[in-house]
Amino acid sequence: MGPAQGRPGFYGGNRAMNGTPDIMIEITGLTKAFGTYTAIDALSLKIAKGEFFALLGASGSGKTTLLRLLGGFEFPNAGRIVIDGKDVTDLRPNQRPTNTVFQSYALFPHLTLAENVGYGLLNLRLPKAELAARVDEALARVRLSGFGARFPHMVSGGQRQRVALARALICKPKVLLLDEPLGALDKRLREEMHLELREIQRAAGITFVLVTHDQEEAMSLADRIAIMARGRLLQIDTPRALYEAPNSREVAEFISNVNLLDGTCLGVDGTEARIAVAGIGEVRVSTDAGAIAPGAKVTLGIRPEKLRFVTAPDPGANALTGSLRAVTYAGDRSHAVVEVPGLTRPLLITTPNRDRLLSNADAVGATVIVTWDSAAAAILNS
Amino acid sequence: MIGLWHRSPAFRGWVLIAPTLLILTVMLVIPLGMLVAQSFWTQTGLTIDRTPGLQNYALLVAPEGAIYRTLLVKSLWISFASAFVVLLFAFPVAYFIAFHVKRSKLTWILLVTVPFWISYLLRIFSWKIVLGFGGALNSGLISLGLIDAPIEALMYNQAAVILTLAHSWSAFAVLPIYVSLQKIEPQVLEAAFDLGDSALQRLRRVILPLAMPGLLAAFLLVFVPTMGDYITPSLVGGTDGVMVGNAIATLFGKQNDAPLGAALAVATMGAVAVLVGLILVAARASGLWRNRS
Amino acid sequence: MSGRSLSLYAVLYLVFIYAPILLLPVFSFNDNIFVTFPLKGFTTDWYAEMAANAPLGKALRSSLIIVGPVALISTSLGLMAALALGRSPIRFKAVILGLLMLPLVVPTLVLGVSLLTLLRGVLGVQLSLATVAAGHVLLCLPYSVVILLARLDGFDRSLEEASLDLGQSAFATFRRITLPLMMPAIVASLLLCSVVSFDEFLLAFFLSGADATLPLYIWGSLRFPAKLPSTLALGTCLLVFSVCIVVLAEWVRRRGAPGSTAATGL
Repeated sequence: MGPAQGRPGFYGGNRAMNGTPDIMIEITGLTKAFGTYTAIDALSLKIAKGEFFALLGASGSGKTTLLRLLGGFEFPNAGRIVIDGKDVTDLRPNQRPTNTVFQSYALFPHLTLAENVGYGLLNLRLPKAELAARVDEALARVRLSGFGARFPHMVSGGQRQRVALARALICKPKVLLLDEPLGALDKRLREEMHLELREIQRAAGITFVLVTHDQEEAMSLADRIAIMARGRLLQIDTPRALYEAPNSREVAEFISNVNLLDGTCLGVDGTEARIAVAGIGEVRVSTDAGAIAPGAKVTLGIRPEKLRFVTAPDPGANALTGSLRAVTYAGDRSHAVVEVPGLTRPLLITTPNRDRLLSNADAVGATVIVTWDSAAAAILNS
Repeated sequence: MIGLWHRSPAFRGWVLIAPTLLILTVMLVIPLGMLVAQSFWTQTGLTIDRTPGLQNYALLVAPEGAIYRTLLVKSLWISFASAFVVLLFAFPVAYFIAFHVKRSKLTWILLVTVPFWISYLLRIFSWKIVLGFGGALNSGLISLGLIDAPIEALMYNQAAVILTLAHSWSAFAVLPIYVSLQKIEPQVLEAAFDLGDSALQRLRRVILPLAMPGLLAAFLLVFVPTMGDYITPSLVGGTDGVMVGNAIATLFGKQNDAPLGAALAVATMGAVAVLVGLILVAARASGLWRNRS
Repeated sequence: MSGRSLSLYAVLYLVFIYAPILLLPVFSFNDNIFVTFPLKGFTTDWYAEMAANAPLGKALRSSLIIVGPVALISTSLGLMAALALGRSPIRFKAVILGLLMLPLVVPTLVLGVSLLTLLRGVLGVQLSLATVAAGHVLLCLPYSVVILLARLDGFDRSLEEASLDLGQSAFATFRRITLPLMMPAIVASLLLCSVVSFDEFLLAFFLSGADATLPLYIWGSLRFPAKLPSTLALGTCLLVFSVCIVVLAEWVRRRGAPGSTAATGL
């Protein structure tokens, strides 16, 4: 995996790193238990300077606990956390070079927005004029100039979110921790905030660590994503790599819908391997996706958009015949469900609605042929 | 230590609660423990014999102790009746404030609860003024020409005690009932009408079961404290309205039999605990009170 | 239940509640040493008699002396207990809360005799206003904890974490964030504990030494019919005073922090 276009400090994969970027956060062997419940299990992780890093997982995966451990709100049972070369494991939140944007924003209800934003600068004992100037600048950066005199309950959720962001950024932290900050916002507002967050992160060059359960959010914001489950890391990679080359069934299914085919490798012919899939016969997979040994058990994952409907398949290409069960219209694309005899689960196919007037919906119940390229499938380990 | 304070929220918690726990232990747990211990001793004149034995409890159960048993039962009855009367009177008020008052709920709640904070002594005493032989009610009725001679039966009996207790403790009842009525989603009430209930049916099938926690709380909040009341029976109870609290006080005081007094106190608290348990069990069993989250 | 008949009932209920109490002021201005109808004439003699009464003044002072320390100690302990119960992961919370509520459930009479036995019998402590104050603290603790815990519940825990995150020490966080936001509840607790202590009779009856508190004085004067009207005058003053305090306490408690809803959601 090579570096993607245009972002500083960007590198791929937890398998192999390109070059040696500056490391901002290094976590080694971190374990955190609450009573008998292990929330984080011997976790190790490196995050580069200036990186927009996302922790993605379902509830209970440990992602929020990990963030709180980084922020100093919990202390680990074992392991160390090093930020910018300094071991912060035993330091309290007010001693660490991190700042947090809380899920509930945690704006102080008895202080004005300006007092909230200026709170982190109180210890500097700046002259009033300078404090006011810095606060105004911070509010301007999140497009809330002039709102300083208001109280938190007088502004909307989206505005409160931006105040929380300004309040954290004004402290110029080395690392900004964001705990599901956009969860309470509606879809459109969330998408606007995605753009703003990326802008701010790029402009400030600060390392961001974002916790979210929303795959789309993680993929659109982050340079690299760590998928977590049950207190462990499943895979750390760029969004593209996670989507197109997941390392396991669990990761593949978590990221998005995927069609899974289980089979055994029959043999390798040059750049292609032949896989015998139970119930449907032989299927070809490109070996770009990874090395396969003959006789090995293999699971193939094919994303719905990589499948196509054809009237007649090309000779030698992967093709399956089935009956069209249902079609869902989603505006720019349609989702189809096709039952194939021999497969336990139906195939999911996504096609862009190229034609304004015609649609697959008319063909519900009919027999259809589905095809895909041999390079379209990812090889999943278990 | 400082490090532990910062690293362990549990440590902080224990340190914060330590002084309170100390006070509770020294002033509550130990004295009550001593009371229980005392109930196993005997006292003759001014000397206390500390050999533990069940003689006091035996006395309470034996024929000689009939006077105490009757007193205990009478107190249970008076408290139970007072609590019941209070509930009966308080429920409609709580219902009114919860469902029929739109804007001035706070005012109504204040109006109902403020009297509670006036000195208990004065409240009981004000009833003494009202119910007495030469008191306000009698003299008022006479001057209005409704009766010729003062009614004696108004005061110095059980009924006076029940009435006074009901008056004093009613604020305790309105609040919990009101709070649990408030928690009922308005849409649930609308659904009941939508599905065909009349107002009375809705009351029986929906409102009462949902308000049951508040009703139980209110009942217990009145029943438990009134059992040990001493002031009210002293001021308005006369000889008919004597409650177990008076007997306990006398045993500790004039009669100089602290161990028996202690035993009676323990027996009273035990009886209250048992009765409360029975009420809770009955409420569960009758299906009126289902455990909701 | 029709709205009209319910309103009538509610009004009648209020009349029932207030009527006996309102007799106190009525008869305190009545020019008659006996408390009966018909009313004779208006007079403020009883108030004058009350004001000139030296033992009454002394009892009033005694009550006032213990009110301050009782309220402060109960509220401070209550605040610490609320923080411990509401924020910390300590075990046996249910047991501790049960213990805290026990003074409300155990008959005050029983508390009185047990404490008397402990203080005089075992510890040999001299009874005085201090012992009364100690007893009052025990009685006020449950009220204080309930009020403060309720306020703490409606309080986002991340506010304190945010303050730490933004560089303030734990103590500065308490001073800048926790205390201001808890202030309405703290004031309400102080006021409530003051009222409870000021009006408390039974524990004072058992635990007081040479100095009587005001309720004790009232109890004593109830025995003497001649003193009745001036006792009524005193009662009226106490009534007005208590009402003002309670209304004030409720108003402060409900103001809360701007925009936050009070815990009972009224």
